[in-house]
Amino acid sequence: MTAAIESLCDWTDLYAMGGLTSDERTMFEEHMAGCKNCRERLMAVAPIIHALPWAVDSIEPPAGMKDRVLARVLGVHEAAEAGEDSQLLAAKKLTDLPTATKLETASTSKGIAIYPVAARSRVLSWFTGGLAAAVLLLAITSGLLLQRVDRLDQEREALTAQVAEMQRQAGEDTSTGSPLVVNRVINLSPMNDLVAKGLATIVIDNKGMHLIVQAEQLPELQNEEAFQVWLLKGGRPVNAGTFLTYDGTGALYYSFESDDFDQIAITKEPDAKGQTPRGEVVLAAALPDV
Amino acid sequence: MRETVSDEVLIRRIAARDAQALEQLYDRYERPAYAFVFRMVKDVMAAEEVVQEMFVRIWNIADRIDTDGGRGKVSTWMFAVARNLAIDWLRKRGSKPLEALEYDEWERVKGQVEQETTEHAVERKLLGEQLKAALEELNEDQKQVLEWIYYKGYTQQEVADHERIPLGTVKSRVRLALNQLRKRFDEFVREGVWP
Repeated sequence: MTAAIESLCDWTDLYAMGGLTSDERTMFEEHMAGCKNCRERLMAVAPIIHALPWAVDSIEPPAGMKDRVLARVLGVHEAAEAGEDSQLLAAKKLTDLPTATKLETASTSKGIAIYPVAARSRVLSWFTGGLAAAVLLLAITSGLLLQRVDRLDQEREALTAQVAEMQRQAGEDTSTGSPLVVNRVINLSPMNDLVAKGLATIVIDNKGMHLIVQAEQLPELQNEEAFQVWLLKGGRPVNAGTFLTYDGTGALYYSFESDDFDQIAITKEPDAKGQTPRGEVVLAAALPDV
Repeated sequence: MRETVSDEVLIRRIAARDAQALEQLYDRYERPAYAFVFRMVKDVMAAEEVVQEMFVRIWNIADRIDTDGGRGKVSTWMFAVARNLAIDWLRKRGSKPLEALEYDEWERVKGQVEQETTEHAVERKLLGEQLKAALEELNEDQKQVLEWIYYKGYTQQEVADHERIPLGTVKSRVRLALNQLRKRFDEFVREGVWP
């Protein structure tokens, strides 16, 4: 066996794990076609590699994900059939990875109505595929969106109840003032391998802007530790308050005037007395412009 | 019953543009696919986008997938596509789509999956739990090299550069890790976890 062949045989495990470059992979596949040892080794280790996706912690997918995914998949299909190139559409989708979910809002006699702007604007972008594609697309997506609207209604009711409770705690009463309008809803991303989840909601009324933060699956607090919320502008943090958790779940309400913060972060602090961040960031997100 | 329909049958129905079959496949794999992708990208929205893109690719290429013979190929392929897309996101943060390699991935998977691969989610979940425990038993160097290559998509050379270790060390750590996992796998077979 030559040194070169020995070296290629050494690539079997890396090939199975996906650790070769495209050129190396091609080279190895050519080699493996004539190397029984490599084929046998591959068959021995492949079941392990193939089982790795099942060896991860289970995690709950986001609410409404199924409707969004199926609407998008079927929508892409219909648009592609109408003449758009599916790879181009795939490219479009990956390039517009959202950093936050925006919800368009309107006040109603009952309170707050929420409509999924992000999903709608994506759908609208496919209208360029032609009127026929649009009609087909709408027919498919409308059914799925109807289900989603039902869920959003439920989420709206829950959110409205939470807002009312927060207002009660803050000693405010909007029943005689201007209605609350949801300005932005932002998913907070976990940092440092954490599985924590969080949602930041910014609402507006005639008294200013109000931030409601809800987080769950947060790491356990010890002694005097507390979670602290920060609003940042150009990297400069402003203390938006601290909160403790129950079973890893916590929430916070904060009123402010300025709307030009560009980031939000939650840190785990040694105590609730800090005016600047000292602990590690557990959740964070960019605050998109409305 | 819905649960008795195999992945292969669903793929054939998806190839015939059966949206219900797509939904059925989605229901079956939403949670494991999302958990796997989240494990890689660690971002809830990116994980959803990647899973979504995986189903777009499945829908688009199903008519080219030859599902004859051998169970378990479809799920293995799906996870391979998901991994490629997740790595693409990690490397490019979504700025550029991955090359359309899902058919190549299918060709690759076809030759690596044997008939006895289990099809049932419960068995796979049990196997996954066993494998997770086995992964914990690896030493830190071995865990690290698996993390870089499998979950972060680094090539052998990138791992060597990043860790400042010789290529031969990368290979030997991978080999030792897989040997140890294979040994545990054989025990699973004896214990009946793996059919």
